Amino acid sequence: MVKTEEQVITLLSRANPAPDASTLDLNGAFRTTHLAEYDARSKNMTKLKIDKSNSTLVPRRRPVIVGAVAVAVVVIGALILLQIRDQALVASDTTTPVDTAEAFFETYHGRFDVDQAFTYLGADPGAVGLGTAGAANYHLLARFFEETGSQLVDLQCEELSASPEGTVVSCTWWTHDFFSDDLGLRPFGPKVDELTIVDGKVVSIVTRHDYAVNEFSDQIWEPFADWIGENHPDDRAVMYDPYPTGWRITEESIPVWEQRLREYVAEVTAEETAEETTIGLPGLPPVGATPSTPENGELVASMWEHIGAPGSFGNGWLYLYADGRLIWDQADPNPTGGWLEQRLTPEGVELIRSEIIATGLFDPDQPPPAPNGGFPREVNGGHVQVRNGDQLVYVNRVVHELFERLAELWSWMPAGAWQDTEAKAYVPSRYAVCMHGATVAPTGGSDHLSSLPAAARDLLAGARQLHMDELIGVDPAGFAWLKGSTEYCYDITTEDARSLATTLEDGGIDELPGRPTYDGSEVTYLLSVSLEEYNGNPGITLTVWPMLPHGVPAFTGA
Amino acid sequence: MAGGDARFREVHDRFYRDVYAYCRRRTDADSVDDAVADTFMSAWRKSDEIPPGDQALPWLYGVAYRVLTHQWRSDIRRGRLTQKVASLGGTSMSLPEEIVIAGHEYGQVLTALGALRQNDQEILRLTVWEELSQADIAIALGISVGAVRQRFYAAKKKLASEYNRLESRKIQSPAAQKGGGW
Repeated sequence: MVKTEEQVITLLSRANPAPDASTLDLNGAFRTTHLAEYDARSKNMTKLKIDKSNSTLVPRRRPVIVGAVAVAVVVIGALILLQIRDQALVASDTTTPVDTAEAFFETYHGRFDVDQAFTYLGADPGAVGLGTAGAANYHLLARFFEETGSQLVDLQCEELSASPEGTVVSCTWWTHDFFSDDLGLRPFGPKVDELTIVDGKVVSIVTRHDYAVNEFSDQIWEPFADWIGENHPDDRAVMYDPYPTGWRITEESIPVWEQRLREYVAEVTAEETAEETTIGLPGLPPVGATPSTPENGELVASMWEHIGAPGSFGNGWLYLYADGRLIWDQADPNPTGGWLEQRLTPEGVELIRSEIIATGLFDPDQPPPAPNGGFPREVNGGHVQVRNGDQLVYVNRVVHELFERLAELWSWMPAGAWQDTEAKAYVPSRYAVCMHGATVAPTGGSDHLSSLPAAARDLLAGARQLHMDELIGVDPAGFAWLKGSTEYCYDITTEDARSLATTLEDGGIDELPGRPTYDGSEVTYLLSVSLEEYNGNPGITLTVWPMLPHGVPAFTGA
Repeated sequence: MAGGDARFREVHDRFYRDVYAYCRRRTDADSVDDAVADTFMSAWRKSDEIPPGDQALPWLYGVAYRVLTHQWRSDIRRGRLTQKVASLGGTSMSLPEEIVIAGHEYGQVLTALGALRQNDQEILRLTVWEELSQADIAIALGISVGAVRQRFYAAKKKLASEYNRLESRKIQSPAAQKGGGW
């Protein structure tokens, strides 16, 4: 039987080889033992400090044809070593061989400063083993890597051995290449070089990594080469020698490489974003996403369940509209990551409505249930409402069976009831921006906007405010829990929501991580504390919520 | 510890068990101690870079991942892990046939996981096994939160697709049709 994505994820969860860290047998190891070991080992090591301020790009020596499994081993002979030693190079008294190796890497691979890097070498770069480029081409190589988005991400060097011939230091390093960070790929590595240091100078570099194992070829080189072949065949002669296994690095080719790589990254990213829109949208929709139509819709029925029983819908919401839209979201146990939309035929809409009414659980003459424990109209873990004529009526008795029936819509609805069964991301036309916090002025006005950057303040000051009283007027029972709350909401367009998010991010306001577990669609910003200071008490927050077609923010549960 | 390092000691004491579990989930029992020790050794050397508060844990996971990738130089070891995990039975199950089926499914889902790109595998493991938020995964992997979001949904889809592909192959195989066991 075919398993859904969520079923497979659940299976993966259960296949966890060590599900509970608290019960692990640590093989009898005591932390103090490990601390003592670090103490002993660290006596021969130095702490590592990478200057991140100016080391975001790195030239990578890659004298191989990518895609081949080639372990490059370059050995510098004793003659060269002796020659170097004869030059009587002078090292600093306090500089260790590990320091020298790291300084070379950070300069050459981290800052692309070829001339500075060469000051750490004890001989001609080619003789040391620094690739096969001619002296003039090292600068060209550095430019190539800089322009094509290489970054030194991590570097770990340690001393392997020391002898009269020199100290051997092994450096393990990871890089981003070809803008791989923009593609969401993890750094490539580990790459391992062994450097021999004599009198504070690098006299030999031996490469001991296999380019095939770090997935650069599979993940970027080959797909990009294919893309070039399909989309820019004329560039092959400029960029490659030969195509598609070897590169051609010249003054002419470098700008072409950069331009094409940027185009490739943009295209792949756009494809992945498009792929993402087939499921729930965490946060704001990508630029160009088509909003759900029509913008407004009449609510026919809704279900909200916040206590999931086995086999039930779980913690989530489900809304049915007269225009056929079924919009739903599941926060737990299998989060959809945001609101989803499917389309029913008019017959399908009526089938669900009549199914709910037929339960006999609804009595138009009875008042809707009162809020319970802060939840609107909560009866036994949730609520159901349904349109009966021109009014919405509410369930007011135990509804487990109804929850289960609605949770299983997909299993009992006939195929003819669906116009489109594919669940796509619900892309709202508008968003609600809500500010919340104990110190927000309780009586309206604009004081509560004072904690925002000026551009955000101006944007919201010109937006329509969603007074909770207005919502309460529409749906008295559902919104009674909000009465007197310090929630201030504004109704803005998607474009304004995106602009607001940019303004807040540019203003250094931190996004609260982890909050999307609520329903997977909102974005919350911390206005009164930084993320670093956040300790569970967010203070004043601003949250951007999707607006549902019946004109309420998604968070209300109504 | 030479020179003392309060921050490192705090992180070490607080997250040792989590890092141990992280490594245990990704390598065999014989290699765990070395991986953990190397992770904290690396962390000690970069203790000035340890992020504040809870962010230290995903940062440590990132260090541990790089340590482990250093160890994963052959596919044989990964195969061993898959086989080892595949032999695990669900603790809440009682019927032998259920245990066999679960063991098969665990092995199958891990095999499917192994077919994904390394970073996609790690995003899924960090989400499902370490239960990290997307922001913390971004810290662990050194990529943006947006990239984590995109990759997670794509990886989830690919995992299900690969799992179902493996299952359909099993169903269609002559051995299965003849009643060949798992």
